[in-house]
This record gives sequence, C-alpha cells and structure tokens, in this order.
Amino acid sequence: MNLVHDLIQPLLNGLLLGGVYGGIAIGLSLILGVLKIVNLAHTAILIFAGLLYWQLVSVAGLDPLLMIIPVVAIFFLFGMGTHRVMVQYLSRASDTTMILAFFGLMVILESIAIMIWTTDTRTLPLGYLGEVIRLGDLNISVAKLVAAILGVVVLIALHLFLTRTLTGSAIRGMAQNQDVATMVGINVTRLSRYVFAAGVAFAAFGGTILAMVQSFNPQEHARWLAWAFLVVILGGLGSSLRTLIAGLVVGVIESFAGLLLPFAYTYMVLYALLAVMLLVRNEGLGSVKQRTI
Amino acid sequence: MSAATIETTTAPVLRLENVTAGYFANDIVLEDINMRVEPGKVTSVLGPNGSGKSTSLRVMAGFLKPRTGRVMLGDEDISALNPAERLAKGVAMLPQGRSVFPELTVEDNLRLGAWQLRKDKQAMQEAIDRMVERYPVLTKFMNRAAGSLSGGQARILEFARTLILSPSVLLIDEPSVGLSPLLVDEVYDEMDRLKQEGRTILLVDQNVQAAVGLADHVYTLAYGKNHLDGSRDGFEGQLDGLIKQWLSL
Repeated sequence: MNLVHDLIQPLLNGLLLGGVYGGIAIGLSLILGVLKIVNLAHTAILIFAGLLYWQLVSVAGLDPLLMIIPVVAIFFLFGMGTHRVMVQYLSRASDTTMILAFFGLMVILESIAIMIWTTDTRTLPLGYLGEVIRLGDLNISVAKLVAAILGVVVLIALHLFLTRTLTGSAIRGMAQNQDVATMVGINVTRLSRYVFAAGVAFAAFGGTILAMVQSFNPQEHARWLAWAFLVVILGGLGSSLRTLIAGLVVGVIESFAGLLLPFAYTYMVLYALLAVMLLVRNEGLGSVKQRTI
Repeated sequence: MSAATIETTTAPVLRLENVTAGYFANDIVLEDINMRVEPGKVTSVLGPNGSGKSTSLRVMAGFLKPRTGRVMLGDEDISALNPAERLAKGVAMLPQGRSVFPELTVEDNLRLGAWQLRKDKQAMQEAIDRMVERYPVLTKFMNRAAGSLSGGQARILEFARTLILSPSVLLIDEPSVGLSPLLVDEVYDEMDRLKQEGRTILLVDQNVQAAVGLADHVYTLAYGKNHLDGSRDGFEGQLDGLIKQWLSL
C-alpha cells in the first residue's frame, strides 16, 4: 500500500471536495433552518449562477475570483425580489403550496438556463487557478484548494456572524420563535427577506465554487440537490459549522468510494447514505434536530 | 428613569372601539368589542375558553388587525401599526406559555428584548443592567441557554425581557398557565409589584380569583362579545356564579 497514493491523496481530495460541498449546502441549510422553507430551487439557482459565472469568466474573459462578487450580488438581489414576490405572498399558504412554488421556480430556472446555454456540459477555463501544487507525491489542484478555502471561510464567517452579533442572535431567535421575535420588535418580514436573499446568494456562491472544481450542465441540479440535502441532514438544520463538518464527511466518503469502488458505485454509496440517514431519522427532515445556528 | 419608577402620568389610555376581528375570512372571533385600559390600573379580561380574551390582546398588540373598529392609544389610531411599531409606542406583550428563545443565552434574550435600542449600545447595556438589578437571580444565569431554566426562572426572564424597554402598557396573556401553584403565587406577587409601581396592565388569565383580586377593572367576554364590565368590587361577589355560567357555555 502506498500511503500517499492510497490514503493521504484521497483524504486530501475528499477534504477539498468537502469544503466545496459545505459551501453548496449552506444556503439550503440557512433557509430551511431559519425560515422553515424547503427551497427545492436551491441547486437550480446554484447551477444557473454557475452558468452565469462561466459566461463571465469563459466568454467575457474576466477574472475568476473577482467575478464571484457580482454573481453573488446579483443573486442576493434576485433573492430579495423572490421573497417579496413569491415567499411573502405565500407566507400564509400551506407548506405544500410553498414546496410546489419552489418546484415551479426550479423548473423555470432550468428552462431558462437551457434556453440560454443549451444542455451542453460546461467547463470553466481556470486560467491561473489551473495550476497544480506538488508536495512530494501529493498533487493539489489550486482551483480545488481555492474553492475549498472559500467554502470554509464563508461557512466560518457565517457561523461567527450568527453567534457573535446582535443581528445573528435576532436571526436565531426568529428561527426559534417568530411570534416572540415580533413581540420584541424585530421586523420579522424584513429580516426574513434578508435571510432568504442571503440563502440564495449562498446558493450562487456554491455555484461559483462548484464551477471551479466540476464540469456541469443546466440539468444537473437534481443530483446536486440530493447532495445538498445529504449534507444538511448529516449536519442538522441551520448549523453552519456542522454543515461544514458534514460536507467534509461526504467529500471524504465520496473520495474513498471512488478509490475503492467502480465509478458507477460512488453515487450509489452516497445515495444509500442519504437513504440511511432518512431511515435513522425516520420522520425525514421534520425530525432533524434544529440547533442553534 | 429607573425600572422601579414608571411615569404613569404619561401613559395613555389604550382602547378597543367597536372592534370586530377574526383569523380567517369568514371567521369572527371578536364582534363589536369595546374595552378601555386605564393608565396606572390593572384591567382583567375574563371569560370561558374561546370567548376571545387572548384574541383581544393580540388585536391590541398588533398581531391581528381589526376588520372593523379601531385600536386607540390616547388620541392616536394605532390600528394599522404592526407589533414592532406598537412596541415603539410603549405597548408590550407577554404571551402565554414559554416564550424565551430557548437556544439563546439569558443575556441574548435580554438583548433581543432591548432590540429597539440596538443603535445605542450603551442604552441597551443600561437597560439590561436595570433588569438584572431588578431580578438579581438572573445574574448567575446570564451565560446559560434560556431553555435550561426552570419554569419560574424562565418566567422571570420573560418579565425582564418584556419590561426592559419600560413600556407604558403591558398586555399579559395567561401568565399562570402551565405553572405549579407555588410559581403561580410568585408570578402574581410580581404582578402585584408591577401594580404597586403604577404600571398599566391588561391581564387575561383563566385563574379567575387571582385575576380579579389584582384588577381595578374587569371585563368579561362571551362568544366574542362584551358581556359584563365594572370595578373589581362589583365582581367579587359573583365570581362563583360566573364560573358556573362559563362552565355551562
């Protein structure tokens, strides 16, 4: 057994991938944990943002790191608008209606993405991020390293914001009891809008870091939605640090599964893990313990 | 202004004027209700289950908008204001059941109680200090999750969080629900203290004897309508009869 080739390299690959997975899932976790909304369009937004990001970097030739900012900003505004037009409008509707609305949004986003970018698979030209760092027998992709670092930094920053600031306490309080949050004078509608927009912006951010490490096409969002739910269910709702840990676990499992099993079985292992998690927490998402974010 | 000296002279009268309200389109919970909460007095609202007591509080606090009629604070019509805007005008509500934020610390619960002072950190800290001074038992729990407090300790935190902005009108909904008899006594001792301080209180409670004992003025509701109202003295002799009547409704 070659220690570096068989153990350290896949572990490192898994950890880097896990940092990206954490970044992919955090928006879903935030919206589900705080607003109790199952955003089925989460990864459709993520893929759409990834395609927009690809357009800016690949076609317009702009800097891949700098272009993360406008993409995230655009989707923050999209989140604000979606909350105003759809979420707030349906705030008294049943959960089923809300889920169907997000299913509709998912279909619309996918359709628009296919109209603009077709169903072709896209690969981001990495430019200066395309380098590989060699440490002895270890190979580290700069793009994966940067994407993972960005994912980890964003998750830790969100954790600090939610646990160390008064607004973060207000968001956590709102997640625990919206009525009482209203009673103490918090403008729950406005704060919810910002939280939702942040969740959508995090989805867009996830799309940009995913684009750095994977090729993708407009129809792949369903697979990534399963991934995101797996990370959220493993980590528990709304906990950004646990989401990070869950992302790392999924990344490492995927990496070793890919090493030990034929490629076709890799996804099966992760879907089986998702199924087991749902069986263990046998009431599905409703039984996932809600923690302090 | 210290927490123990409230400027009752500035507290305006809170009134419901011919209020009709309900939660759904064809649902009427309150019908043509009139109610008046006098400054510096305790007003109790009594009635059987489903009579609209808690709903009348929710209308006053801004959680439910009247379909017809008005909510007046002094000379101002506050019917269209949301709960945050009413709180800014001094109308605070202590809801029934446990209402702490269980996963936040006691200190964070108090900070959120003083949310409207968030742009003035010093004023917020002074408000928290006043509450800790008023309820010294909170000192040793400041860094504990509020969900780990006992029922009595949680109730104290809820009182502190509601009083932290020194509201001019307190709307208190079923303060004794779910508490042991000993804790109910403690809660009523605290409300008696609030009364002695001259606070304006509108109280809804199933504990009829205690609610009437504390009240200056009593309203009773039945089927969402005004039933009786008058001073406490007028009610004390008829409590048994009223309770029997409500049980038969």
